[in-house]
Amino acid sequence: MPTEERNALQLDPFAFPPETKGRFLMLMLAALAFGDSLGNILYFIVDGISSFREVEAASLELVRRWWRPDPLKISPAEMKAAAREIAYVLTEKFAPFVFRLLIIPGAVLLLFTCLAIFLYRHHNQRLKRRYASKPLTRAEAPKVVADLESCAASSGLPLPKLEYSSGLVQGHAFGYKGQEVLILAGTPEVLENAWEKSCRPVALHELAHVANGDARDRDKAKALWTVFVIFLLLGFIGLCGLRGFSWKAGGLTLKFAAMLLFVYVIWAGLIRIREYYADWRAASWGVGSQLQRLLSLSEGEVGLWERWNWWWRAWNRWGEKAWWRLGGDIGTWCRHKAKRLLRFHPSFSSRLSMLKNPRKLFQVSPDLSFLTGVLLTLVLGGALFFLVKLSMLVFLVLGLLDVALLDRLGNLPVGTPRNGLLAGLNISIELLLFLAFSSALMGVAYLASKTIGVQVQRRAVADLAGGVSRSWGYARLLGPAFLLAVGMEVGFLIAPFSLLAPGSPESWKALPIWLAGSTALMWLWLACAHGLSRMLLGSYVGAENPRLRRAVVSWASVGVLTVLFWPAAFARLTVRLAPMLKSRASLPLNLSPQKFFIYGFFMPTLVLLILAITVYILGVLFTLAALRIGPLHRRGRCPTCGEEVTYTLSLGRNCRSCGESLTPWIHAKNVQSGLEPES
Amino acid sequence: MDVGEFLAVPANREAVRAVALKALTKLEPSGAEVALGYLEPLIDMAARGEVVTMDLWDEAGRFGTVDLLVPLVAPLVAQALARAGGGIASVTVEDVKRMVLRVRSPQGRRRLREIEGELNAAFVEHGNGEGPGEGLHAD
Repeated sequence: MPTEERNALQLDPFAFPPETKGRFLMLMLAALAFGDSLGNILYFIVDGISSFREVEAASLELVRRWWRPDPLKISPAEMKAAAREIAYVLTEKFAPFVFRLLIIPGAVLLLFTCLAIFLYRHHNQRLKRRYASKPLTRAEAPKVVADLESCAASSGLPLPKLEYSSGLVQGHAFGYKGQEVLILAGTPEVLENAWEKSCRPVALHELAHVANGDARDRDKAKALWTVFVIFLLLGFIGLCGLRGFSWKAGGLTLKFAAMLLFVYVIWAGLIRIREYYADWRAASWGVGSQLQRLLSLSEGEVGLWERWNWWWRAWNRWGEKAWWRLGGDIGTWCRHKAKRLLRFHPSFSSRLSMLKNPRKLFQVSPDLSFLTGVLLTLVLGGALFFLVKLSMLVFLVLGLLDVALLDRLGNLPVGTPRNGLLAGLNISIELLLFLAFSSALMGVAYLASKTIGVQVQRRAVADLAGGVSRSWGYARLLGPAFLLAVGMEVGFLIAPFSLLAPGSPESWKALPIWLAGSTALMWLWLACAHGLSRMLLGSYVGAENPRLRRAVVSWASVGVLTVLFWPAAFARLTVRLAPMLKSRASLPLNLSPQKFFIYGFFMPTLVLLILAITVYILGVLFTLAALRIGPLHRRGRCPTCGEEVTYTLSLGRNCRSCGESLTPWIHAKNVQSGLEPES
Repeated sequence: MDVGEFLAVPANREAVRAVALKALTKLEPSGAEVALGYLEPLIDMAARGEVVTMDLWDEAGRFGTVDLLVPLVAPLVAQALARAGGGIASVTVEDVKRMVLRVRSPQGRRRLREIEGELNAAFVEHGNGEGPGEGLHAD
């Protein structure tokens, strides 16, 4: 398809939900999951590790009784006895432990959440105090208030509470839903006087943050991680006070520090990306050229300490000294190095270029792939204990159900009906366990598809609009797939209490194979999301956003990733548990550790891998057939002139009859026309 | 002369405006147009003895760091011209430093000598009648 047939209209970054929403959600979940993990530590301090070992033995006992080699041959009396034994282990040994494990960390998590909510609900007051802001009234600044009122009304937003503080060409929007505050820098007379040229674009940029919902996501994540740090410090001080400092605690502290550094980098990166979206939203409200002028100004260089009075007093006193200058030079050098990762705003030049061409917002950047991988496993690493506890609860409930049913089946004589019911019972319980396991994986798949999945959809659409060749579009997904796999591995390594981190020489040796396999599975997933987006969204013709088609792509992507996660999760457990099983003397079915490993982990992994690949291939074939019969076969009509479209994939093309775009939904309106051409 | 009294005369205000613009055009050519919108209220504030304190801390959710020199230059020019009465005004590095400290201008802190040089050049140019609104009017 020749490129010249494509129209050159700019893509609209708001045609898709931003992937940053998904990453903010992951940040919040990771904080909650680690909050729960801190509760688990408290549990082990209170209850001791010995009770955990007892329960481990009880669990193995249960599994051994459950997996009888000859379940169909047992007599009714034996069945009743088995039900009683299982009931005893469940109620006497298992249930008290599970309830304690749920209650103590649950209470910590509740406290954690309450404190985070408190911080979140009070950050308005904190920020207002920090700025020493004053309410901006209509009497003081009539033009400003009236203009902002009309802007907010035309975009369907309630007007945030307006305040002003010291400074120039600056603004800050924050606050929770219904209580948003917009602080503008400058006195009312400064704001009135410089409104059109420089204050209005700043104010609309901030209002755009409110419209995009950034302030809420950002401050919720901040509140949760702040509470996590508070709990962590209190816990660390308490633990050192109780047991003294140990190198093990020191190592764990380093792990926490690495994790917090990663979280900070991810958080700062998300805030930087949100700035691009806010600039775009403000430009779509008609201040593109003013924003462009502001972003053409030289950017301020603010030192780390320049926020505080004492620093300025020190500068006044020693600013001319050679040692002060040398320290300043070193500080500036360090700041420049760290700035790329830690700053909250992209450089003005980068914002300016994104305002002129938002193509980067449609790409899958290396840092997005890598950091999404890290975040996914941080969430998984933190939530694993929580999932283990939930599994224990499910296990307990299913166990009690099994006891009740076994007791009833014990009244039936040996024969086909009883054996049929028994087999049905065992299969149902295993199916329920599998569904519980799959729903956890589905949760992780949902998070992945809300982030990198959305970005792949965006890129597929941008590729199609830009006329990028089909095969290159699939081939270059290998990079993000590899970085996603590497990021996940790094996440496993830095996540404290991670049960799935490589912990033995064997698991380290298996790492290259794991990475290769994981890259392949991720590529299959990304390729599926890319292909489906290309065909389903590319074939759409119209002005309205194809929400239903986007939802189909997203949920299909969640389903595919869940299926591909099955073998990956089992493979991970296999690698992790292999060395642990070697030391086990008593295993269910009286199997040797090697046999138990082969039948319990290796074979299921292999079976699940074959199953996943089969489901994937069948799914792709079925989808292709459905697309050929449905969306790819049906020809839409031009939204402007109503002429039937002759293209199979119409995205980014103009109508041959009227020359207007066939897919206005993907093109930005009112932005580029408002920007001044590049000099 | 007191800055407030000095700026009460429209011609003096015009002189402050002209000198400040001249210096700003040299010091930050790209920001001169934006600075223009801030000059009048900043001169009003200078008349009351007030300045705008810059707050450029890179905080999540803010607009970004636009570090303009106008909040530093406008009161400095007003003070210097008021101090000079009818003669040619001048500023020293210490004057600039004092104002930097009040305004907390990071850019000003880094360019103390340059600002002093450009301001003095603008005063001389203005005193020699090479700019708009030249000459001072003291009542």
